[in-house]
This record gives sequence, structure tokens and C-alpha cells, in this order.
Amino acid sequence: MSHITEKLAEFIFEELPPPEMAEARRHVAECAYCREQLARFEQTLAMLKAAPDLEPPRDIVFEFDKPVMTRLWRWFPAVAALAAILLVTIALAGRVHIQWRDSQVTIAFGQNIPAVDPNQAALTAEIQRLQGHLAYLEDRQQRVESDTMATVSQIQLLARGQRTPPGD
Amino acid sequence: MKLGSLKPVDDRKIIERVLKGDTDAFNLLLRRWEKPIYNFIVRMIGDRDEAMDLCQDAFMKAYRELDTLKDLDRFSSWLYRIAHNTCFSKLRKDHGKIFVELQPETRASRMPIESRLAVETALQHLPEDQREVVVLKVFQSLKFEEIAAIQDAPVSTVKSRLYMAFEKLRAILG
Repeated sequence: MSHITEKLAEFIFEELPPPEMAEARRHVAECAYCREQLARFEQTLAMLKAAPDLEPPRDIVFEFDKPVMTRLWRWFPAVAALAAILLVTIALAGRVHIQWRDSQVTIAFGQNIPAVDPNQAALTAEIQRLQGHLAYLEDRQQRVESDTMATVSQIQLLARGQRTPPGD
Repeated sequence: MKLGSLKPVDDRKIIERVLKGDTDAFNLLLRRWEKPIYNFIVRMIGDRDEAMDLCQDAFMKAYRELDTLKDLDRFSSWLYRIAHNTCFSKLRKDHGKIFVELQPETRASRMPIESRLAVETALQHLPEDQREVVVLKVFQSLKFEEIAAIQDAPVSTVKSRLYMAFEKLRAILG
């Protein structure tokens, strides 16, 4: 093998293909000229590498613009948590009463939410139904009375006509 | 850091998040790449304050043009290419300006900070193309093919630049 001068850098930085690396190692072991070239190169390399890296004097941080809504949504959990804490605090203090019933939330300020008896509710509904029916019947009664009065009037007029003699 | 095996999968996932609208995820890429890119630029420019501004410019450009990245697994090479363009734009603008004020020391038992200053100074004596090859190869551990892609040059040219640079650095550093 000829001298490795042209492949010296690749040899030192181990970028030669494995077979060529093996062959170059064998050559260097036998060739004083290439060993000297190698030593000089490595000496310079060692001097360069003695210089450590620097730490950047400051961190680079990019602040990227976000859409307005995204920024607002960032605050949503905090605002929701604050509102929840506020409601719980007021409820514990007894000034607000919250009730969950039939998929509805009832919030009462300053008074208790009246308890509703299921039987009472059914009774109230029945009363309302009967009151409606009564109103219908009363209306019907008025119309029947009115019709009756009209019929009576017609009968009286007809009867009076029959009693009057012709030529009076 | 081995940039040739740079967790491309992780970068890919983050980039996909950014492209889907999770813009804050870009800061994860920043955290990961800020230091290597900053050090690359410092060694290219030789001015630490200026390097920080250029580093920020490079990342801003990367963010703006992220949707043009064709192969998400090659983000690192693409990012270095942006940093390369940023540096060379600055170097062209400041052509003739001398950043180096320190005299390189001899190699006798330097402390780390002295070594760094000596190396930074020595690097500034190299032509920009050679300096970049040294920085990307020695300090960023990129493969020759990756450097060739960044410099838009053949691999053989990249290796030649490295040899020439090492000859000069040996003379400067002792």
C-alpha cells in the first residue's frame, strides 16, 4: 500500500470504509513516514481540542404570536375555578342555595328553596286540570242559558200572535 | 457532540410539531442547537457579542424557512448551512475588519481559557473557507460529506482545505 497522505484526515476521523481502515492501520504500523504525518496531524488536532466550547452569554427565546382566542382560552380554567370557589363559598355562608333537580340547576339567593312534595305536586296538577274543566263547563252553561232565553222569547211572541183576533 | 449521529428522529418529531402549529416547540430546537451554533459562529467571526446576535438571526431565519426544509432528518446540516450563510454575509460585510487582537501563545502548558483564546486567534488567521472546515470538523464533528454540502463544494476540496488549514495552524500554534 502507498502512503496514506491523501486519506490521512479520513483515517484520523475514522470515515474510511472498514476494509480501508484496517488496511491503513496495517500500513501505518509499518510505515515511519505515515506515522510521522499522523503524529503531526494529531498534535495539531489535540491543540485545537484543548479549547473548550463557550456557553452562550444568554438564552435565545422566541415569543410567538398566538391568536387572541387561544390566549383567552388559556385563562378559562383559572376563571372557571375562581367562579366555582366563589359559588361554594357563598353557598357555605348560607346566602345562596343551589339545587340540582330534573337536570336543572336552581339557585336561590337569600332564602331556602322550598321543598316540593311529589304528592303535593300531583295534587296541584289535578286541581289545575279540574279548574280548567270547570271553566269550560261554566262557559257551556252560560251559552245554554242564553240559547234557552232566546227560545223562550220566540215562543212567547208566537203565542201572543195566535191570541190576537183578526180585525182588532 | 457527534453531529453525524445527531438524534435526527428527535429533531424530526419536534419539527413536525412546529410545522403543525406548535410554535413553542421551536424553543426545544433552540435549546438543543443554540450552543453548537453559537460556538460555530464565535469561531468563525471571532467576536462573542456579535456571534450572539448572528446566532439569533440564524435561528430566526431557520424558523421562518422551516417549511422549506425538504428532508426533516437533515435539519442539523440545514441549520449549519443557514449559520454558514449568516457568517459569510457578515464576513463579507466586514471585509478587512480585524477581530483578532490577541497574540497566539506558544504551546507550553496552556490553561483551558488561554488555549481557547490562542485557538480563536489562530483560527482568525485562516482563510474563511479553511476556518469553517476546521470548525465544523474538529469542533462540531460533522462528516466530510456534510461539510461539503454546507460549503457547496466537493468532498475532495473540503479535505484539501482541512490539510492546508492544519499546516497553517501547526505553524501558528507551535
